Amino acid sequence: MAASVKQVLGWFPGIDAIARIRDASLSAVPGYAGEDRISALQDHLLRDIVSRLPVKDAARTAALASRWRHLWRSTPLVMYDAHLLPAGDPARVAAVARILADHPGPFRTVSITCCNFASHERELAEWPRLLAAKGVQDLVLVNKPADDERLPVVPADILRCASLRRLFLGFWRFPDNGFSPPGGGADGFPHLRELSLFGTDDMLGGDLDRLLASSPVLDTLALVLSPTCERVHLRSQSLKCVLLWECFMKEVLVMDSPLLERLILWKTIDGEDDPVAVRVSIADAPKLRVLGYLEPRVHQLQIGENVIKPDTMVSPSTVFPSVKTLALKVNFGVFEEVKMLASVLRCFPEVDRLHIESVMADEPTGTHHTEFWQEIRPIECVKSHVKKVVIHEFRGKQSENEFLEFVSSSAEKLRSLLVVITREMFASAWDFSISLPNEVNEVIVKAGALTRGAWACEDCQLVVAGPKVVDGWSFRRASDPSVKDPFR
Amino acid sequence: MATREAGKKMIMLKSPDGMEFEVEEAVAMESQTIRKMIEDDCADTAILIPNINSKILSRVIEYCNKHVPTTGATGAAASDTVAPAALAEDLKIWDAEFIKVNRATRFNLIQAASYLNIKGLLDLTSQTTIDTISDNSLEEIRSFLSTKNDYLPEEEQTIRRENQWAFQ
Repeated sequence: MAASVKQVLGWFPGIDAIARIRDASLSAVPGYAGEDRISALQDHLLRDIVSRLPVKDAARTAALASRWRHLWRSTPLVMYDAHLLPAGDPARVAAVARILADHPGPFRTVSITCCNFASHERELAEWPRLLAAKGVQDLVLVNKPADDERLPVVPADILRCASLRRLFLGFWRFPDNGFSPPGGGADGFPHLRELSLFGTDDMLGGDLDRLLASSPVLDTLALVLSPTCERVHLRSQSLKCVLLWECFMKEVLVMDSPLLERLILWKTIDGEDDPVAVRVSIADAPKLRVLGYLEPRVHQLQIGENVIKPDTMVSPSTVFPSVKTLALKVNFGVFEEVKMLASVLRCFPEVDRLHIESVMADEPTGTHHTEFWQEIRPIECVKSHVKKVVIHEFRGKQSENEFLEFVSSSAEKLRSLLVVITREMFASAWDFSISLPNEVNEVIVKAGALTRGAWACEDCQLVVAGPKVVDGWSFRRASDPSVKDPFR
Repeated sequence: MATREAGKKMIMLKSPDGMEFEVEEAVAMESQTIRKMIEDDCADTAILIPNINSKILSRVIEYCNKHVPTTGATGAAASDTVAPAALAEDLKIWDAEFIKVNRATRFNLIQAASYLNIKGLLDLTSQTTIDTISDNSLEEIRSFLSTKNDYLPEEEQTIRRENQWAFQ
């Protein structure tokens, strides 16, 4: 738990701002002496500057000169508690308390990550009340849990706070009898665009239904490390991006979601060895462009009324042509999964970027894969649309190479085939004290053999690469609409 | 950048000291203020930019020229050919050079960026001031900004007490 909490903290909004401010240096400022030009700037420009300062520096400006006296208090509050004092300093909680009480509002951005609310009852009662009363817009409220303690319930004031635009809750528990949205109707969070729930306990499918129903402009939803939400039913006129991240669910249903563009599932499987089947059903999402990771091993894909099986025949009611970027996790060594892979690919005929993560158990089974890929009917997206194929976690096994051959011999539009070897293989390849290890060597030799085979496309680049140095999988990146392909 | 390329709509910007600048419409529209004027059809032939002299306006145009998205011309995304990260890194280096100006120019640029509503330029021009104020003592900040302390000692003490947490 502790490790994942630490990893999670790196993903919080506002961390960029902290890093940038620490980088700041005075050496870049030319010409200190002379006229006081800054005081001549209009109030709104000075407030803009004050609002970009770490909260402590912002408040101190009041003591600079009378021109600055009332600026901080009349500037909407921007406060990251991480800017205040070192983490773990008990004075930090006291400083947060003073700021929330003293600043008259409105609160534009407040990020509180320092407090173990289970042992701070007064703060647990008072802070949410102040945050709501002073109209907080962007809120990061992360409880700092002690080991194995029962998480406190999400404060009712927060679940009634109509001014919210972005809400990021970490390590809270949902009330036992569900929560009632403010006003009980569709206007509960009239401005809420981004909702991230992190490490949330006791949240049930019904809670999520109510959150969605009361957030009419919500465009991004992230559920991370929230293991109790067994069913996710997406029904929203505004949602564009949904991330389900290390949440163990049994059912993901995309119902009436006219604007949904990405649905990202990451480690949503309970039980590694004996995983629980997950039903992924997509009924109505005409704009869905980015989808993954689908795992044929456990995901039971349903499109409209049709459950997709290895022998499903393609028909207009089983295809989803809007999806352009698709990611899958497949064990190429298991024939059932290979058959499902082919069947799932047929459901998305216009995919142009295909990512497949190879999840390898031991190399089993005979030669029937080769025959399977040689005899298979053409798969529309591979044959006529796919431009880029990336195989992640490639180990150079026979079954993986068979798929590569299938792609290279049938993909007419292919421009780039990227084979990313595993971290372990890559690490061993960089050890110059030994010659290139056999397994890496073999991948390169096989790739070389592939280039001499018959390719369906005219001009394609084949690249064998090592994995990214930094693990790029942060959920913030995945939900960033400017990142066209979040699986890269 | 001064050459007029075929098919690109040009627009004239005038500074109050009588200088005229012909710029591509896409470049001028980096300013949300000008964009709104154009979209509302308030800009026939030339737009007068009040309060911003030609020296500052020419710097602003230089900034917009550099920051106008390169994808606009063909409508196609260039992201597959040029790594966006490399592009962003280039811009950062360019920005760092651009902002090496004296303080008077910098504050004029802040005002211009604010009036013309160019977020990137406002961020860039304000950042140096923010860096100055962050993590320095009041005395240092006053000296860097040439701001005179006009408080009586007891007044300053009162203000410090009001926000004691900020002075710890």
